[in-house]
Amino acid sequence: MLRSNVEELLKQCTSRFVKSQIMPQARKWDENKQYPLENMKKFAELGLLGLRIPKKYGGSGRGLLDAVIVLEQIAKADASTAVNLHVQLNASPLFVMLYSGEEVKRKLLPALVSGKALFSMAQTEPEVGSNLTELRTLARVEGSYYVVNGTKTMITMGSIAHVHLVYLRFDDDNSIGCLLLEKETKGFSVGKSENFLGLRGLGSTELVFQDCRVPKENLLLKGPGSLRKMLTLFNGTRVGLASISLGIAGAAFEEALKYSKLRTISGKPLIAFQGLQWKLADMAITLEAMKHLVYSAAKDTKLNGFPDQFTSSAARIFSSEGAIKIANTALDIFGGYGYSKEFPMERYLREAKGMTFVGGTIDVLRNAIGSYLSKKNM
Amino acid sequence: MQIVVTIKQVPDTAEIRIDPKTGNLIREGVESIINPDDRHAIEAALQIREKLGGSVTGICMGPPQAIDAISEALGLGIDKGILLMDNYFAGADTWATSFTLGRAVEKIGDCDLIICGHQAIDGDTAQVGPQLAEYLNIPQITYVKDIEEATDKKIVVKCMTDKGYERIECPLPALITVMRQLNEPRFPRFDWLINACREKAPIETWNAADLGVKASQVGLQGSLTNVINTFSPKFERRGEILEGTAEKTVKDFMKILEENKLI
Repeated sequence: MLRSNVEELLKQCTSRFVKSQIMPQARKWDENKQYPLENMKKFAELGLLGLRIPKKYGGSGRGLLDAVIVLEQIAKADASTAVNLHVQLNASPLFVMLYSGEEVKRKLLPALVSGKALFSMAQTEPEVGSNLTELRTLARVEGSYYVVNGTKTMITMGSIAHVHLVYLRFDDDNSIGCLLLEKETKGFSVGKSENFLGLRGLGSTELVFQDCRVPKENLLLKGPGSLRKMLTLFNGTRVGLASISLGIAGAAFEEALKYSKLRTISGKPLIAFQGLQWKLADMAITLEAMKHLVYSAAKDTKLNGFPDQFTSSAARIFSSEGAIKIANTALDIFGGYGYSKEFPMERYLREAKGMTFVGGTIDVLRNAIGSYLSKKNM
Repeated sequence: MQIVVTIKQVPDTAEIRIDPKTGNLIREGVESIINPDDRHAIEAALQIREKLGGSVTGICMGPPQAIDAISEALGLGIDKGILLMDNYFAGADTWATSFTLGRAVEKIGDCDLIICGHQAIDGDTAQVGPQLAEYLNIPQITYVKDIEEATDKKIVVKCMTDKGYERIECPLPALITVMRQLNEPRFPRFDWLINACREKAPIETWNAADLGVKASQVGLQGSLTNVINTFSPKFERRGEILEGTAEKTVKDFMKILEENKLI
């Protein structure tokens, strides 16, 4: 029976959508530090927000691989939009799918699919960064509620999200876990907005919790084993982030290649010069290696559907750093034009740099790989 | 309202290059897309269905990879896709294509309205729509830029002419070919694209036997035209400097324009 290859079809259709609807406006969003809310509305209308949500809640029930394909294409036009979508596809809603009660799932998952409930993932704190084991945001048990106090910082879509997935410490057992906090909760407020170098459309803000009373049914994880479950899920989110770096690098490389064929010096196109050829060759090699790492991680489902720590961390570290190298060389190839905001090359470089911080710095992942290697039997 | 839309898969390029040795289109590195005018045809069909109910069936003649055009059309919201695929169909000119599509429309049966894109960006002939209407012996309206009214019995449209537009009312069944000014095509839904790739997707593949046609009626053998040579036109830049007074050079310039039939 003749049928299209779903991955190829998703890639092509996303690419066309992106070129028409996102690419033309990316510069404006960047300059205005504007969260592009219209993109989420469009993603909802096109059924994209439900990509990984099970069919019984109105989604398509697809896996990480499809999300990676879509995110790579979107990141080619606007990495902020890709990160915002990534949070909806690969982060918070997966916790709801895996660890919420049925009532909460029925309430939130169809609402996400329709774009009425957008999520944030509130992990980073001003004093401890994204180190989960040292979180200071505290949940105190009080009857049928958890009373939450603390501050989160640099939270993507902090001012936009309807539901915040908050990582915190529980005072009764001192365990690390997470719960869902809705934006209408009394005592919750959005703090200062970040003014980043790149990724300026993240809507990134501080979140402040002052005696926020969260009903117990909003609990996701608490107690022994919670941290391990959270870390397993993070393996998947890392690959999503890696695919965004891959998209940025792909866009920078394609622009540089095109330019090097069009731009002439002394009657010859740039690409005719060996110095430029070698730069492009190195970019192409790095990009190809990034693709292999990211896609092999996206296909890795050995940990109950999630990739393992090494594969996912390696993909993210290599892609984040590779994207900076590629975007930097691509800017060089454009010469002075690359440094001008008239062209997207400087934005690619700022975005690539930002991707080393989103979701936790990549140096922390080196620790994770080190830990993995120290336990591995050779 | 039962609507049929014709869909062609074409290379995504405004500048089609031709291999000078073989005369064939260079498709390497060129993505295939639904022909742009056909996207407007699909959009028109979906809008009429949303208003009147019924169904939209997309038919596409092409090689196996044309399944992607059908899948994308399902992602846009058509109800059913039919791929006309057979080695015998290869090399068809516009007549053989129209005949094959016509047989498919007859096999579908009870069709109220056929909507075609005005023309395909790879061939630019604008002949398949009109020839399909001729084969089916139904009225046709070409160059449609606005659909004012559509009911189960008739359609009222505006079609472009050299001097403006004509407003035409036509009983159904009929065929229209549509221009890009008609509407703004939507984008495919991701969940529907995914469904279109599943085994149970409403896609059928019909070959020559399914249509009850002989090899001599379709494809290269059934074509009435014979392409002798295909080539990319050469554009050469020539320069000529006119000398003398302003009056003389203007006169000379006007003469050159006249000689070259540019004015």
